[in-house]
Parts: sequence; structure tokens; C-alpha cells
Amino acid sequence: MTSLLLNGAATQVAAAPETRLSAALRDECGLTGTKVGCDAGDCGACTVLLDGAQVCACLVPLAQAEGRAVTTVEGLAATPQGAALQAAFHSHGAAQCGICTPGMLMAATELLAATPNPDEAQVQAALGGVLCRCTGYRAIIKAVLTLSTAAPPPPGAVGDSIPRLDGLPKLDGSERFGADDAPADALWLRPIRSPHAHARFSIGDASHLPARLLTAADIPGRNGFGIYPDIKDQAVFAEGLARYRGDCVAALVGERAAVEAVRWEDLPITWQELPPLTAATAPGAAPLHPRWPDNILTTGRLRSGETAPPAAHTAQGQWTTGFVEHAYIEPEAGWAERHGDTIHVHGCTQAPYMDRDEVAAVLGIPLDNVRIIPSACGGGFGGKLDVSFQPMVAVAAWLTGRPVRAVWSRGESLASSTKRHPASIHATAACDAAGRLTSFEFTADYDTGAYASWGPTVAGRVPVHCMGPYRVPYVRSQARAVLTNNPPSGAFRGFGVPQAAIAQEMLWDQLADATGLDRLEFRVLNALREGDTTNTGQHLRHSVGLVECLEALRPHWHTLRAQRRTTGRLRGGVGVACMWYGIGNTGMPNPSTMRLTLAPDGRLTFHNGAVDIGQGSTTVLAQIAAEALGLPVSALHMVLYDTALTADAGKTSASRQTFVSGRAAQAAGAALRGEILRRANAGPDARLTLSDGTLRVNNEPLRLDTTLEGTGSYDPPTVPLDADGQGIPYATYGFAAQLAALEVDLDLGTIHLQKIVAAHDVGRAINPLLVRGQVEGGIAQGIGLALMEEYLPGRTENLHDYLIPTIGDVPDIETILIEAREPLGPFGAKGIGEPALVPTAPAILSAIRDATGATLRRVPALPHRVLEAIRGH
Amino acid sequence: MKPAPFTYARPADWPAALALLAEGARPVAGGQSLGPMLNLRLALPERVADLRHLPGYAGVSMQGETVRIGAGTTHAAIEDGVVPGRLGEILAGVARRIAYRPVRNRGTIGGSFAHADPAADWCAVLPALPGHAIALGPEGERRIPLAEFVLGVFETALRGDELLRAIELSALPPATHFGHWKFCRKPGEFSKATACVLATPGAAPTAVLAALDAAPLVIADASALLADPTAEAARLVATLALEDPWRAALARTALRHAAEAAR
Repeated sequence: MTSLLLNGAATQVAAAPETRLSAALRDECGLTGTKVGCDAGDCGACTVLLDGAQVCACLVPLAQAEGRAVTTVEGLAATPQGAALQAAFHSHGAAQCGICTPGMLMAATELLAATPNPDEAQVQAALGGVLCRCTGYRAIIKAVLTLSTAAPPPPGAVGDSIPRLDGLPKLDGSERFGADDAPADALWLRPIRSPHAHARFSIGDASHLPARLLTAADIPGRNGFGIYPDIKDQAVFAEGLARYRGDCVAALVGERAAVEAVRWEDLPITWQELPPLTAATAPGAAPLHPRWPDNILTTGRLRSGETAPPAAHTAQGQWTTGFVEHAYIEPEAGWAERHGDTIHVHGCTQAPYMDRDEVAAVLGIPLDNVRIIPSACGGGFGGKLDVSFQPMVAVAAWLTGRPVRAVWSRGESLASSTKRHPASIHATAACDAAGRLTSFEFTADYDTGAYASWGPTVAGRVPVHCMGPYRVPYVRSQARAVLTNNPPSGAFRGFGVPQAAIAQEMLWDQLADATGLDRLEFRVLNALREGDTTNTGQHLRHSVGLVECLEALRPHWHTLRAQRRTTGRLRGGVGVACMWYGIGNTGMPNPSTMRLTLAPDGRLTFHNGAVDIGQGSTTVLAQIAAEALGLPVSALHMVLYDTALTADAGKTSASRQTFVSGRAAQAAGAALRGEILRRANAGPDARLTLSDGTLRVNNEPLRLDTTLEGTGSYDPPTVPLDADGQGIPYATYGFAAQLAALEVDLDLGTIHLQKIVAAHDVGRAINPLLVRGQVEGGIAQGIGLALMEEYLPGRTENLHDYLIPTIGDVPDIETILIEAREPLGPFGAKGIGEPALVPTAPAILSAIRDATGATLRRVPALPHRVLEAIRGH
Repeated sequence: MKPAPFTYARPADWPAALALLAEGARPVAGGQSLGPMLNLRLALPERVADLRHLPGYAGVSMQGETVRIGAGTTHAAIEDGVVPGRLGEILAGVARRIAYRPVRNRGTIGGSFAHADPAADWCAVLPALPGHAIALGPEGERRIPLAEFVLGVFETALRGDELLRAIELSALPPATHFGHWKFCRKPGEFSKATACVLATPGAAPTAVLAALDAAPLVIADASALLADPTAEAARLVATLALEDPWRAALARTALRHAAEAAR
């Protein structure tokens, strides 16, 4: 028994003395506000105060807390300073998904106790041990520095920066993520994964184990899942052949202690290691899957223009990028429970309706017998679109009749989850003497790893986007998704476009220099404008705000360029890059449906099936629905994403929720408003109010005898691409341009970022606070892609070898919002989730080139690569 | 991941701790290195002996010109100035750059030194300082010169039946120059190259090059390095015959920067 003063109360904890304090708090004391992200002191999600000092609770044995004061996020609101800090986080948008928020708050509490008025450097030093993958840290710094909530928030009309409606539980520890909630009697499931990139295996008698060993033979239905309806190539439990390090071959299910005590060497599995496929496209290479004999999963192409106009200058180059990990701070976690012939699956996900389809097929039961109930999602970024734990816990719960839960460890999450595709790109571009682009040719192989996942999507998106948002009369592009024995590459914020944008923008810099044009003006000259036709043959009639983005950057461009150091060891550079990004699926349906109801008792309910993974869709969609209805956001009760309670709003990906689900929400609001006005016999401009359970139309109470309903659906109008990549792949596009200012240490090859200015055409900012949060967070991930992130299977399976940006790595960011209204979008809005990330890496590489003259050919631009590039220049 | 099962002991006093050690227990102080190794199952001890609460394990005392720092003194305490004088300033500057504050709040100077991770900051600095590691064994205390304490990767001069009890250092005159430089790709990361140079008036300057995936290189007389940092750093690093040219370049750079800062 260990005695603690826990959040001010004397508490006895019965756990063993060596129990990690984080586990004791969560499992014994029920205080799940303290999160677990790595169990290695790398992520800081479990930061608590021990006698007022911040510590990683995963590295403190319970016995070391004997007699000490332990303060967790649950105890924060009791102090005025804690409450002020929570309020400041809320009003500044410092919590997005919320998984790092408790750790951030605790670290800030230690700082403020000793230093009530810290400066920015002190905040960065004090909070440096807590990683955040959503916010880009700038809003967190601002919240700690100001500790104020500024003015009272506006009411929540479209265009108002209101704090997120689902924000408060993220600040007091009450939010429930995938690992925070499960029945007390749940069994535990522990996957058994291949330690080899390629191996045959056989599983012998497991009856000696203290837990049940589930294998492929136990799958009641289809032992396969995958994003595409016709490609279910990834097994829940592999059958005799493991195709990547991390491939799941079996799972232990049983009481927690029994499952956790099983040692690797106790498992009755024999492995026969095979050489991993390295040159997958070499003639005669063995096929990874019989279905794709040449190991080429798909090839996407685009042909536009018959002949290229005469060119005065050409530029060409090759670029390679590495695997990039999503590194959401919440590892995959959830649980399942069987209810008769129905299965309920709870946990973190970006795609509940796709999860439902997969679970139903794996169990061999009808769709209606599967209910997916998403927990809060501690970051996704594309990595929680594919199923992970869902089919496994569903099978285990189905077979055992007991609730079954699973929580991936950090190492397991890194090894098993999808990654950003490594790309190997060759591109050539040309322009005339005046700097007008004449041609662009692009070929790329994207390493899609061992299974298809989103490989076809990447191969589809890249040829359409790879010339960037520019007028190019002649384009030939091709992207292949190539199967290898690497981790499956999947969806990651940008679907291959961020990699392609590096090549495209680096070529523009070379051509601008060749023509003697300023690099920013070169982009203005060639930028797509309203009225232009894209290389897929799509006429862009509206909402092309790229030139405005570049013009908004121009004064910053000149100022930053004038300020940069051009002599000495630290050499300044300023880079610029643009991007466009098609919102929604590529030439394929992706409908959303939203529903509003008004009950006779006046209860107004918004049924919203779009999963908010931290980006803010719950708030934005409510703002849209309320505005369309004509009532304030505060009047809405929420029923959020649950496949049994909400209509299909598709997946949270492709930057589609604001645009697609937003249009559906707008339509639902308008439909309910129409119902109300019809009943009240009122005109379209009638004013609605709702108070004390009574709806008033132009101040006249409207009595209801039945529940009124407004349903809205939207599927963006697209035309599938033909074999030459011609069609209307997306209904609308986001546009952006970013500047990066940095210094390169010529001795060390290190990069110090000084400032990023981001101008984004979002059509309309429904909630500018949340849009800025997306931009800052996307930029932080772009910094990671450009400068530090490279996943190496078996070598970087933790967060101290796999580096993501810390609070000390993200510079001042200035966000400029351009609103070139999209008539199809809700109140003119488009999407922002992915566009935020795309231009950052090319802008950084452009700045390195400006500083040193060296063109980086490989990202991340690690110091030794920067030095090589400088010295080879 | 959870640690593989192990038993945990909290010895009541130093003799009890030594007895546990004799039985094969793995000592733990702040747990900031052993903790992750246990959680990730990189270390699989049968038994762990917690030293943290032992009397006199943490804290600093002065005996004339000698400063005795209890091995259990945290990096944060050193960062916050628990060691007086010029020596304290130097140590605080090193401590401030160890990992992150939560790690510094728990991690200890003795635990880190005895763990002897080649990238650890104290392993890169203490060997340059005049003083001793105080080992406590069944026969009592034994003094090991700091420059001779770290023998290799995770290997020290401590015997299997000894614990690191304290670090004893000589106070330094105010005019002491100290240069310390390390290379991390991001704030708080494990160093890829660390060097320090100590120039005390009236004594030969000393230097250490560490984070080498080997024992630190201790330079007992760094006069040549101070006189010509670039050339001498190149000569010293060449003697190590490092395979990776990038690591060699970093090591040269670290020595040069540390020397320049100590001039």
C-alpha cells in the first residue's frame, strides 16, 4: 500500500511498489486524464507534478511517490492558476485532439509556479518535454504567455472564432480516448507481430500458454481488410507468410496479467526468414502477392497537351523522400463487446463507417449487426483510417463472449501502422524566355509497402497535382505504387502530394534563376487563375485564390529577404512554395449526410457522423448548421459519430469534412428551417429564437406535436479520370503559398527556422481560430518532413530515435487567410487539413537553396545531407 | 508495453542496499534511463533496488575546498544552483541542457554517471573536472579519479558489489574558463557529439570528447587544443579512427567549439 497526497486528498494505492505511477493513476485511481503515449519518457503525455515538479509518470515507480503530493490534470481546476491556464488553452485553441493537453498543462503549471510571467524561451524550455502533433505549439505558447482569455467569445456565427465546442473535456482530463474506457472485466488482447520483414512462419500447439492464441484459423469471416472494396489484401492474422516487420500473425487473449507475462520465447512460432524484396520492380523479382506479378499495385497517369511550346530554359532533377510516421500521441486503442448477434467496437478512428464494413466482413455478419462507437481520437492525420485493433478485438469478443480491449505500445504502433509513402521522383520542367512554363514531365515510384492500403489513392492523386497550381501547356506525369517488404504506406496528410511538391517547386526555383525572375514573381506569372483550365481539362470558374496568396506574401518576402545574413557562418535564406489540393476523393463519390431534429419539447439536436480527430469539425459543422437554420450554435445539442445514431458522413480524410459534410450540414439546417417556416407559415427572412424549450418564429411561439427533421446530403460533383488523367477529379481546390525564412550553419549543416508566413485560400474561414490551428499544425508536420523525420523499420521504433518537432523547433508562424469563395462550399468554404502541410517542406528547401546555393535531393534534410549538398555544390 | 515482471526493493539503509546488490539486484536512482529500458524490456532484471530515498543520497556539502555532491542529487537541483561558486555555475550550465525538465527533475548525477550511457552529459563533463567518484562497497568508501571512472559503453570502474555514493569535486576559482558543446538535432535529444574543455588558472587545461559509442576520450593536458583548436581537434579525432565521416566531423567540431569557448 502506497500513501499519496493525490490532488490534495490523502489516498492509498494498493498497486505493487514497482508499478509505474502513470499506470497506478490510470488503472488503480481511475484518473485517466494522465495519458500514456510511449512509456519511455519521450512524449511527455503522462507528465504530472510530484511535489510540484513535473515528471514523466511512466518513469516513476509508485513507491517513489510514497508520502508525496501528486497533482494530475484532474486536480488543476481547483487552483485559480490552473483554472486560468485551462481557460487560456481553450480560448487560444491550444488543445486540438487533446491527448497532449494534460501533459502540457502540468508542465506549464510547474513553470508558472516559479515564474509567473515567463518569456517565450522559458515556456519553450519548460514545456520542451511534451510532444504535440496537432497544434504546431504556437497556440500553446501563446496561451501560457498570456494566461488570458481575451474578449468573451463571439456567438458562433459563420466566420466567428469560437473556441471548440468539444474543448472543455480535453482540459480537465475527462475526455475519453481509446485507452481510457473499457469494462472492468474486459480481457486483454496482445498482438503477436513478425520481427522480420519477410518470413514464413508456422504456429504450433499453444495449449501451454496461460492465454488463448488467436490465429487466422479463428477468423469467422473474411481474413482480409483494405481500403478498396476489391482489394482486401491485408490479413487480420497473416497466414504462414509475414510481409513486413510488424505484420500481425496472431494475438494473445486472456486476463491482463496472463497475457502480459507471456515472453516472446514462450510462443510456439517458428520463423523461416526470407530475403526482403529490395528491388521490387527489377525484372524477375518475385511477386509479393500473386495478384500483382510485377509488384506494381497501380499506375496513375496524366497526359495533357500534344506538343510542348518552344522552351528557352529547362531544369531537371531527382528527389527521394523517406517513410514518415504519423506519430499521433495516442497509440491505437479500443475495445469490443458482443451483444447477442451484434458487436460493438469502441476506440479511436478516423473512419467509423469503413470500420463497420471491415468488422462485419471479418466476422461474417451483416453490416447492421456492427456498431462502431468512436472514442475521442488522439490524433490521426490519415494513420487511423485503416483498421488496426478493430477487427482483432471484434473477433476476440465475438469468440469469447467477453469484452476485449487492446492498447498498442508505441513501438508496436510505429512498427505496424501505415506511413507516408517514400517517393523516388524524376522531373523535368521548361519555360520560355519570359519565364512562362512550357512543359512538365514527372515520373515517380511510391513505395507502398507490403499491402495496398491507400496506395491507389496516392498513385491517383499525384499525377493530377504534381505540376502544382500553375499553367503548364504540356504535362506528362506518372506515379506508380510499388509493393515491397516495407511497412504499408497509406494515407498521410497530402496523399503523396507533399513529396511531389518538393520536386515541382525546386524546379521552379531553378527556372526562375535561369530566366532572371524573382522566385515569387515567377510563381505569380505562372499561377492558375479563375477561368483557367487545369491539366485534367477542368475549367476553374471560381475560387482560385493563389495569386492573392502570393500577393499577400510579397511584402513579407521583400522584408525577410532584405533581412537575411549573406556572409559568415550562419547564412540566411528565404524560400517560397505554392500548392493546390483537391478537396474530397479523387473522381469518386464521397457523400456525407447530416441531420437536425427539433423535438416537441424544443430540444434541437445535431446528429453529426463526422469524426472530429482534433481538427475541429464538430465545431465548424455546428456553426454551419446553426447559421443555415438561423439559430445560435449554443441552441444545438450534439449527437456525435456513432454508426447506430448518426448518418454516414464518410471518413475524416481528404480535407473533406468542412466542404462535403459542411455542405450536408448547411442543407440539413436549411431543410429544418424550411420545415419550421412552413409550419409557421412564415417568409424566408423570418427570425427564429429558441429559449426555455419554446421555438419562436418572428417572436410567435410555434407549438410542435411531432419531431421536425432536416436532413442534408452532399456528394461533390466529379467526373472520374480517364486513362490519360482527364476528367474532373475534384469539385474544388484549396490553394496556398508559404514563405520560410531560416539560417543554415555552414559548419554543421543545421537549419534554424526563423519564421514561416502562410497564406491559404480556404474559400471562407468558418472559424478562423480553428483554421489557423490547422495551418500551424500542418506546418509543424511539414517541418518534420523537411528536416528531421525518417522512419527506418527496426531502428526508429520509438520517439527518441524517430524525431518529431518539439516546442523548440517550430518558429513564429504568421497565417494569412484568403477567402476566394467557393460557390459549391458551405458559405463559400473549402478545406484546410492537408493543404497546410504541402508547401512547407518545399519552402524550406527553397530557403536552404537561397542561403547556400545547394539543392537538397533527399529529405529529411539532415545536417550531413545539407553539408554534402553544400560541399557538392 | 509493460516491463517483464521483476521484484522491487526499497532498502532501509546503505548496508541493506549493498546486500541487495550482492544478491544481484539492479540499482535504480532517478529511473530516467533504467525506467525506459524496463518499460521497453531492454533490461530484464529479476530485482530492482531503489536507492532514491536512502539517507544522504541527495544533497551537497562543502568540506574546505571540496564539494561533495550526493549521487542522488537531481540534475534539476544542480541546474537550480545547489552547488556554490564557479563550479556550481559550470555544472548548472551543463545540467540545464540535459534532456527536458521532467527528466532533470528525476534523473540524478550519480545514476547517470554510473549508468555510463556514452551520450550522457555527466560522462562527458565530470572526467574533465578535478575530483573523485566515491564508491561504496562492503569495505567502505573507495575513491576513483573521475577521469578513470567510465571505462566503456555502459561500463564503469565500479565493482559489482559497489554503489556510487557521491561525486567529490574541487571548488574552482572564479577565473576558470569552461567550454561545453554538444550536438543535438532537436532540443533535448541524445547528443551525437559532446566535448568540454576546462581551463583552470594555474593548472593544465583538461578536455573530454564523448558521445562516441565508446568510452569518453579524456585529454589530461589540453594545452595544444586551446592553442590551436582546429588542428588539434583534427589530430585527436584522427587517433580515434571513427568509421563514419559525419561522426568524425561532428567530433572535431565539438572539440573545436568547446576549446574556443574555453579560451
